Amino acid sequence: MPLTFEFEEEYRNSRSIDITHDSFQQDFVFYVCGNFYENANVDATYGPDDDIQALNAAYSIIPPFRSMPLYAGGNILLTLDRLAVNQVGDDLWKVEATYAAKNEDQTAGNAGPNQGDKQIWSNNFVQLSFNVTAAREKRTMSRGLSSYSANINANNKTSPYKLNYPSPMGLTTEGADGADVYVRGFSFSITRYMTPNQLTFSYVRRLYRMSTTVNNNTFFGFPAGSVLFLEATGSGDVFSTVPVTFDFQMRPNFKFTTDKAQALLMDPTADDPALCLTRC
Amino acid sequence: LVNSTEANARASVWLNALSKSNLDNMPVYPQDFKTLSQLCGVKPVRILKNAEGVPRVFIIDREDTIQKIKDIYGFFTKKEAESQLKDAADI
Repeated sequence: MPLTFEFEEEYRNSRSIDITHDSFQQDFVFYVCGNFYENANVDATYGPDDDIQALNAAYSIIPPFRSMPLYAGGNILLTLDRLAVNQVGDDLWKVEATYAAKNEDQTAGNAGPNQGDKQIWSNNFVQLSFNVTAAREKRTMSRGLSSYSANINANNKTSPYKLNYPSPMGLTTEGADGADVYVRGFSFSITRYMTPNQLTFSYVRRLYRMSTTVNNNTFFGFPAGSVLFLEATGSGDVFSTVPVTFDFQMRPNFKFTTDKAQALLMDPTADDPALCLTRC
Repeated sequence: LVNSTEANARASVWLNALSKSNLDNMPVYPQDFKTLSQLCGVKPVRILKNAEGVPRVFIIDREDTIQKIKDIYGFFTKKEAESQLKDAADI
């Protein structure tokens, strides 16, 4: 026979709320009445397990969370902190459930139903946005001089630059004019929602120190040295969950030297030795 | 609603809460069901009422609710985000 049961909250005693300066708690009290004994495994040696049947009935109707409004605005998510099941009659059991505010990332010292759930309970979901750009950038040095012609006012001076070697583009007596090229850019933002207790001053200071640095390990699938952390912005109600947006710029973690046939991989932030004028 | 910071924040909180459970069908209190319904239009699998017929607990499909919130608010797990970004960078 399938397990069937009814439940009823206890008038007045259920749903009591207790708030202090550092805790938030709500209690539910109700009764479940069903065919627990009928469904119990009755063992001559170990006795019936109708208590397990009653507990399973309680599990099936007790929500693991309870959202409550805060005095200062916003909401708090309470988690199931205590569950007590006591037999009142043959097939009647009293169930008491307590919901309490829990630190989302608990340390081992804080016992509770969420202990050990640190990885699961941590903020696992993020929102993404992308930005692919094409920026104009002025290049003043060419990878190789392809041709030149003598200026009739130059008094037969020869060009200081050799064919096929890097040289300034559009060089005049007033400097190198250069040429505009389009450079691809790929930036992305990650938004995660953090609770006020996660947004500590030390965390913000860490963000400040991390700004303008690149990843030293694989980050969101990008290899080390290819993602530049630009900035983080947090806004919203400080009593509630705050969205924090992190901005990153992706770039290859290498570049080729312009030395044509002998082109080598090099650090993208270093100056290209092939573009050094003293070489010519 | 989807564009409001508060709705996104609440969606994030519920998304993390729902992902923490391993129940197929998860019970939620009526007010919380109302919030979830407003956030993502979730429908109850079952409604448990007391003897007077007043709804006391709503049973929802947990996986379906998670997917609805992810779709509507554009949330990704970190693994999915990695894959998305890698795909985007390969273009």
